[in-house]
Amino acid sequence: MHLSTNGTDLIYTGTHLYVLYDGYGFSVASLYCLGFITGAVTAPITGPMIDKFGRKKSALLYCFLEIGINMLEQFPFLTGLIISRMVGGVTTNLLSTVFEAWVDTEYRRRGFNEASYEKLMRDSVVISNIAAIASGYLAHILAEQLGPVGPFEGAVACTIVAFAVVLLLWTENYGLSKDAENNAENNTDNTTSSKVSNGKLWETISIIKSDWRILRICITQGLTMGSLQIFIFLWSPLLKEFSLGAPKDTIGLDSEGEPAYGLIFGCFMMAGVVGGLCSPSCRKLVTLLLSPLSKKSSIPDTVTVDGEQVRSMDVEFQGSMCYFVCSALLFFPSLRSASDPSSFHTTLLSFVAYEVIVGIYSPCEGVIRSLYIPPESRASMMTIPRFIVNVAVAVGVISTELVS
Amino acid sequence: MTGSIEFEDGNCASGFSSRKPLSIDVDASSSSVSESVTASESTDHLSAEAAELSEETGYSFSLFRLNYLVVTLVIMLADGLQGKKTFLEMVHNQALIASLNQWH
Repeated sequence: MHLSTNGTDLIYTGTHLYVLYDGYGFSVASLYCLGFITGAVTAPITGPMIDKFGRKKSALLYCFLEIGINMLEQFPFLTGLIISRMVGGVTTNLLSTVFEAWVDTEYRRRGFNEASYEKLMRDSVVISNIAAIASGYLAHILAEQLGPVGPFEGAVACTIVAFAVVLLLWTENYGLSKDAENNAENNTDNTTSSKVSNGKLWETISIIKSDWRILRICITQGLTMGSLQIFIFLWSPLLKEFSLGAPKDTIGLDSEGEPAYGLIFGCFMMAGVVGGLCSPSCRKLVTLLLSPLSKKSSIPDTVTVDGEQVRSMDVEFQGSMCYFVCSALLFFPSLRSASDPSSFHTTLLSFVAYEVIVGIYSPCEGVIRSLYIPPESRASMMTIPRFIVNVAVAVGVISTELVS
Repeated sequence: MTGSIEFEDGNCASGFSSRKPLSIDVDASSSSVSESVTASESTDHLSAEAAELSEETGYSFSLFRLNYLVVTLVIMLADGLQGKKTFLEMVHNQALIASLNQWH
């Protein structure tokens, strides 16, 4: 709220969507939430559509659309930006579904050693962490060399590489049985996938009806992801505002006294990685603290994580503590004044700490889901938080516009 | 006790040979030497095949892994360059689920 009073009046240079759109002089909040509304509307149908259309084709479609979006975003043309944001809502849904579905199915189809699947996932976590941190630095360099559109040009180049690899090396797979897969290839049977998606929808509803804790988990996790998305939207204008009163040699500012957006983003990514690494130790600490309580009660629900038994009460307590600390860290900047020279670095510090806590919390989400949601329904259940995220972000972003 | 092994060059022998047998004529009372020749050679053949298959699977898996990781890297870079972290969260979540389930 504090930022929204001044945020839209500023002209930004640097990286990322907020900076770019605001530089064009358009309503950043409206454009941003447009993508989330589109995402909310298309989320329930994305999964079944991908299963039917084919994962490879969907991945190619994702790359194609992303290249188009990133090219459109390089021009201050309102219609183009509106289209890019709407398509962006669809591509976000594609991104969170296509690649995971393809690798899972392809791995099984090729009959690789089951134990290696986890190793493959670990490798992808390492690679994605390195890429996330590097992308911040790369964005900073590209923004300095080519201006605010530089990072988007870089994104186009990267997506072209992804398109080429998928086109040349990936094989097609579908989310149906072998027979249905053949039918889908021949386009002769369109009823199977709709039956599957209808069945999954009813299954999801019946599971929620049978245990209301599942709905509570979906809402909680949806709101958590939503707050993170709103943070991604708001951190750059807030730091920009606070940078005006900060000394020029403050850490986090570039040579022109602007926030070094790319480097700060890379720093956030690194903080998230550190948090993720600390998560198991935090859980052990919580287990140690809560062990006197569990002795009096019956045997609690447990799940095995990396060969260790994790109790539900421990992970839930850890999650609750993360919520509490996150809310305090996000509330902190609203107590600061833009004219105070220390506001920039203290706010930056609170944001880095927030990212560490998000890193600690993220594994808890998966553990909680595995405790309460049946494995076969987990994918379809995840549609609900995704829908909540999109609605929550759209409402949150619009509210900042109204307040300003 | 009768029995013979015919080799590719048309000769027969009852001793060890590195040559590949074409046909084996063994009666019920054939010598243990000729049995051990065939058993040893078929075991060698099977383990060679298994090693070849394992090597082939390992190579195939390495290619598959490289293929997926390259796509992960470039998609993550593109995502990060736009200031988003959608793919990072998805990958983290997927890895955790994999470690929880091992295999569905």
